[in-house]
Amino acid sequence: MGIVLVGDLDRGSKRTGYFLRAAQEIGAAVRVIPYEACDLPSLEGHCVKLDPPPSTDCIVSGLPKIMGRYQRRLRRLDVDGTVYLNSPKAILAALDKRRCKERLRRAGVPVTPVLLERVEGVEQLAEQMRRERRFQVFLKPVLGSGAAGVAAYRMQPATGRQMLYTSAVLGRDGRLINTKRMRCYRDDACTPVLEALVQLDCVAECWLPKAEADGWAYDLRLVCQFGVVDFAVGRRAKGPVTNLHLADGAVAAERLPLPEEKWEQVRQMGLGAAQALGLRSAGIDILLTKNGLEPYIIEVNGQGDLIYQDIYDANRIYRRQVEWMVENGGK
Amino acid sequence: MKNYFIYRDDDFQEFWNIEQADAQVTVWFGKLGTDGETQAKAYGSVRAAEKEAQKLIKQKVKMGYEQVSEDAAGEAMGEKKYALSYEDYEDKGRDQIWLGKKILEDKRLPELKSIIVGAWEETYEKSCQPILDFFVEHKESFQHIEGFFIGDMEYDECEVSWIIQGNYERFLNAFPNLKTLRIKGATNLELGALSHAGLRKLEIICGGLGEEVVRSVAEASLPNLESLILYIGVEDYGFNGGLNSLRPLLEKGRFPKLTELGLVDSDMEDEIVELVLASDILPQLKKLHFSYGSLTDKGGQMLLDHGDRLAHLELLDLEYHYLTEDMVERLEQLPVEINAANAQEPDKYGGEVYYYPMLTE
Repeated sequence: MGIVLVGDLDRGSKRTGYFLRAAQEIGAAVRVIPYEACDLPSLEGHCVKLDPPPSTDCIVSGLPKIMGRYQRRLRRLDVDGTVYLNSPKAILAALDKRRCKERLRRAGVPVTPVLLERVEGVEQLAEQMRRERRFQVFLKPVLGSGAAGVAAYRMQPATGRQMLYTSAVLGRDGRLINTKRMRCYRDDACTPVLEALVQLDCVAECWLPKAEADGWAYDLRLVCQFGVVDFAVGRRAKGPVTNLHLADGAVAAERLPLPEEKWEQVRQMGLGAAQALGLRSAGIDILLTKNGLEPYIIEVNGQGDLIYQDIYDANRIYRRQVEWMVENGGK
Repeated sequence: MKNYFIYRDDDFQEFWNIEQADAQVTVWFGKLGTDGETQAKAYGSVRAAEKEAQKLIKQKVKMGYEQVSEDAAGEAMGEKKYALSYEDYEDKGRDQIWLGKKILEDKRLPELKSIIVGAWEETYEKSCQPILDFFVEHKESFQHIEGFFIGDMEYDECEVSWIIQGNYERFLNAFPNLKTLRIKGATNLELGALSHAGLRKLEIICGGLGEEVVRSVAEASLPNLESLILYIGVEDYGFNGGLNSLRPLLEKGRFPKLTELGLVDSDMEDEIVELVLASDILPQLKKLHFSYGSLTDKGGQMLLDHGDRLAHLELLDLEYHYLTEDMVERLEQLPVEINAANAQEPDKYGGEVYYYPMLTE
């Protein structure tokens, strides 16, 4: 019996490095196995945490293939006899944005409204936007986390003008490449990028304006573990995509102008979402609407536990994981 | 980063706000209910500015100032924002007339000094004319209001160039006590025959200012106008008059009381610098803004060459620019306070170089 971390062998990676540091402080031994070397016999009888595979590719167009391979890997690990921090099944359910939202909706957890479950083409998307009179949407690859391949798209119905915000650019070979910088495409320039984006099997969600603090739009990232909110942080951005790992700033929860009853509502939502998806540890993104502060879950990540503000401080998130894993068989 | 502070005891009600942007620290402060005064200072580095801002904040906290949110600071200053939320218009079908009634029925209305109107329903398609007309219809309830800001929206609510504005002629005639008018969005914006003896400040924030609006301002009778800020924008978004249409704004005596001028957010900011330097409005100005546009070293050099004509200014505002560091250093030698925060890098894409103004990106 022992603790196994499946993920990045490189101890310089923050996920691996700070998890190991927490284990060392508690006095627990951890074996790190890369996904390539990971099979059932090596995990059997252990207590296992599955980290996301290290990303090496900035070709967004390759995302469905990479994610498909990852899904198959996770499915193979989904058998009895191993204790998981988060089971492959639960990670898979959160990974697929369609399934994730469906589960949350059924559990009565408010999610950002979906305009189109499956975007099949640019024309179909435009038609649906006109039919529902929802003229701004987020396009998100159904598999994948972070900002890769995410785009904000809007049109002005009377004039046919269009705007597309995304950090992806079209390479010479027609493939989408992820960059660190948000770009804006206008009118006809949107079309080729949109065409490439919808190849990724996207969900179209309504783009709701976000609450603001001191001139910055922000949303919230909660880390919910074992029925408790272990961390909450505001993520702010001047552009439409807030993501902890783009260069945008994090803002401490107590700096946000949110009344305590709103925090309580948000915490309960986060815990409800983690429970609905069967995740012991979950990173949960919550949007608060501008002018109204109504909360909606944007997405849930079964491997969304890397919070710089925590690892550089108390490292509480990883410490609590190790503690739980020690108690549950990982001696 | 902006921080807002308020001090209250039996004798004093004061505000003190601070913004640190790059190496620049700006504070504005005074008695609650007044405009107060503004001081800006540039430091040698971003770190030095941060340190100074932190030091000033600590001092104020020690003195008993309480940090408040932006909204709370606004309310304490007699300003309140009203807007429809997503739930209001999507789920509850509320519209700007509902919003107008909400303002009218607000118990705090009698003590307010300015009203900010944010998102209304389907801003990309529906004009704000109904709420402008609503204010006119109930004008007796709003005579004490000194400032209106119509269209205060962020890009995630509506593209600035897609906000559908309205006609302000009747509105302005209905409120002779109005001192400040800010408008965001210029699509369908009409100012008509603009004549107002009370107006001190006019600001139009947009992605492209139409020729008709420029003409209305240029031909306006605004004898007490002290501050005029126009976002010029780009042709693509509605700036269709060309630079020559701006020339009449810059004639001496056009606005006898004008001391602050901004022709900002243009993709021809260098040419605007040239235009202003060649005009005879300069001597009466105290604050001059060439901010938020595509200002490059070409415009910077012109400012250097005419340094003597700018020496009387209190502030030369170049925030958001494409100047080189070397040029910024040389400009800082001019005998005038300069704000050169928020330096931009041009976007190189497909073998071309792009200098985007702030509000069109």
